[in-house]
Amino acid sequence: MPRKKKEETEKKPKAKKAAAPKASGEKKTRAKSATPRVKKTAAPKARSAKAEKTTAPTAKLPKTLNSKLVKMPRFGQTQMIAFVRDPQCIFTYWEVTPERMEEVKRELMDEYHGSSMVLRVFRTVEGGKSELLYEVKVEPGEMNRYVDLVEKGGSYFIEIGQKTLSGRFVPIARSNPIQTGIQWQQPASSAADPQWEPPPGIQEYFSEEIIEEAFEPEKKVFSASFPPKGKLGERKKFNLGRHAASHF
Amino acid sequence: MNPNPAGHLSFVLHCHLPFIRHPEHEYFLEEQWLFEAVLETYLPLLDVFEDLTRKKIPYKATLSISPTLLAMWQDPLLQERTLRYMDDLSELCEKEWERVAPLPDFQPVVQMYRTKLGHFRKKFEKDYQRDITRGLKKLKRTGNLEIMACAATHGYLPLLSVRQSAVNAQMEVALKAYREVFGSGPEGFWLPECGFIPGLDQVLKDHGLRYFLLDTHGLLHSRPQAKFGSFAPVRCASGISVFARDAESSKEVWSSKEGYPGDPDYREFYRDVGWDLGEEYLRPYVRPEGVRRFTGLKYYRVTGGEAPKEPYQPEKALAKVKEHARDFLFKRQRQMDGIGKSMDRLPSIVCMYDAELFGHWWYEGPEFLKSLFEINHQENLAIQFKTPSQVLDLQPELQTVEPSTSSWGFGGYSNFWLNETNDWIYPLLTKACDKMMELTVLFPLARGTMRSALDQAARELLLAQASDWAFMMKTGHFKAYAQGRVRTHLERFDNLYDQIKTRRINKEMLGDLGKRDNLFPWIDYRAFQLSSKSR
Repeated sequence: MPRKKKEETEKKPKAKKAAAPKASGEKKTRAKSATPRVKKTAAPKARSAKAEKTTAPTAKLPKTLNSKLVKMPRFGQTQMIAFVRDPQCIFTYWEVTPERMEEVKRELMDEYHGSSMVLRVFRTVEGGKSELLYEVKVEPGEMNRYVDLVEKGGSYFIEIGQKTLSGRFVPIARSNPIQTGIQWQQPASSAADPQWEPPPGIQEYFSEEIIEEAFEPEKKVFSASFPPKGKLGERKKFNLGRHAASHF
Repeated sequence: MNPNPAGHLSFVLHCHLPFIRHPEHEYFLEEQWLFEAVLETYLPLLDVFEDLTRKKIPYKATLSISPTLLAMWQDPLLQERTLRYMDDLSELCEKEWERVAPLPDFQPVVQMYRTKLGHFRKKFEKDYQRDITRGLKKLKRTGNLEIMACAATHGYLPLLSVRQSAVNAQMEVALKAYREVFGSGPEGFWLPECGFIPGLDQVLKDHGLRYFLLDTHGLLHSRPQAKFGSFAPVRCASGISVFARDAESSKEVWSSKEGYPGDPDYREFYRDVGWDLGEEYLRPYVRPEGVRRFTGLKYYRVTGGEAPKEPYQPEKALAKVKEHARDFLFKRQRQMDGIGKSMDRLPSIVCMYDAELFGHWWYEGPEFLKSLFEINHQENLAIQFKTPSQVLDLQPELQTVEPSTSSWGFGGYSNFWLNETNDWIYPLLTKACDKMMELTVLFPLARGTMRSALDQAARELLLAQASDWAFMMKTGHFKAYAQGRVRTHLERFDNLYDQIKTRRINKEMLGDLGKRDNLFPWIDYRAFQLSSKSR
């Protein structure tokens, strides 16, 4: 399991009411982001291009869902873009134009009342099919979010849409497909070709400690003009493990 | 050369600084970074290689150099200011020499600075005629120094890749910048921050490159698993080869607590006369006026523990350098001997560092590097120094793998460049890229003033894409400056975009921008076209 690093703990949401978006340069506030309840429902049905009735997935929701209200720029274009931050986190931002919302309202008609905007996280599986992992409600005014993934690695896309009380879903925008790669803690896949099977010496050398070293924060602050904080960057004490060079 | 080598060792130093040039100010604090790096890192490293060449000591080393650094090295204004910096420092040093006359403990270190300043000033102005690339080209021709290319403005490609044209432009301009200086090549490419996602290998291959480098876990978590871990290069399905950083040797140099740079005999970075001496005494040498800063004159050694810092003793530090170099080589050979038993080929160890660690942060770093080659040669050790290209030439069949998404930044992925301090830039950068692509379609064959405006728009967007800004926002150091840089370049871009679309170019403004953000004078805005060009 990955060790909790400071950054990971810092991104847990705080139970704080979202403030209105402020001008850039001012403090940002976090939106209230309680973990949605998971209803015990049937598995999600195959999604069609048009509005559909769906049920909430039964997949376990991720532990943290961060969101924030920040004055993101508006470009007058309905779109959704996703970035991979790490194998367990996607950053996405979106924009929905007033014109597009009017279209959604016309499509839903009376059902629009009581409906809410939701984010849906899909994983692409073999054969080009997609699997709905979970959905979560979008806060009013929210335009971006860090989406945590329970699954480590894989191909994903995110959709934003309007969901009615009856479960009907109208997709509004879909993100670009992304591949989050392999979380380092995962055991690496074994070679299909015996010619390339890692020998025991190599397996032993690359212990967890060696892999952990790969994530040591490098000194990257080139700030000779002001006293940088700390000495050459903080380095945690590191034990190479019994298979390092000193033990050959 | 030892007839029974234990393995190959590639020493790779990545040289990069963001493009910082402010002709509108007589003095600009952030320009100091270049002057300090020239005096403390780049000139000393070239000096090391030239000294080894003169003494006929065999060596093989690899430098990766970013195009922004190449541009600054060749810029006349920055060359002039670099010389001014050296002259100011020399003047301060002479005053210090008089001041420490009754202080024998400090005379050796001040004399060291006097000697080095004179030596490097002469090298810079006379030998290189202010252009460091002259020295590099000469060394490259010896065949002992391999030079890799890097993305145009050090854009962090995994996060720019939501728009293929952004990646294309960073690549096209990078290779053009490289060939403008070095004529042909390169074989190797340094991905900024070693940031990799699957698919980037194909982009590099399409641009004619032979290899690139990743952090350790880029190969440890490849699909399938790399048989020899980081001890052998592999090949991607695209056909390009890739090496991974050796984790063990990395720690020995990077770690301030356990690594060599933290040794008590080495020079203490933070104890600088710029913070110790009186303001009036320093005033002529700290600019902008009255802002205390590091001067580069540091008289103390690390010492260790909580004890007061002791005066630096150059001879003692040099002796320690040799001890550490020997230790480093001994450990590498032990690594090779141990891991080599499990391999059907000689193990390859790739040691990758930021060049600025050597000399600027770790003052004794260049001497350490020189000692590695000297000791390896004198003691006929079983380590063969090779460049990555040379290692590839010697490889039998390479395993084909898909490397893992990775970077050498904190956390091993993109966290440092994408978090709540800097995520706001990506919608702006993405939109600007869409606009630039639109312009390349609307104006496929622009000429004259329109062409100039389009080229300048491309420059502004590339400058906004530099990964350095997101990095500084995250560390908090120079955050305001970094935020300002992104906003300024995007504002300039947007202005140009509007003028181009309405066909009303403000020539005066265009000329002014061309004088300020003047890198890549040969740039072609069509680098932002969707289709990537290959060689």
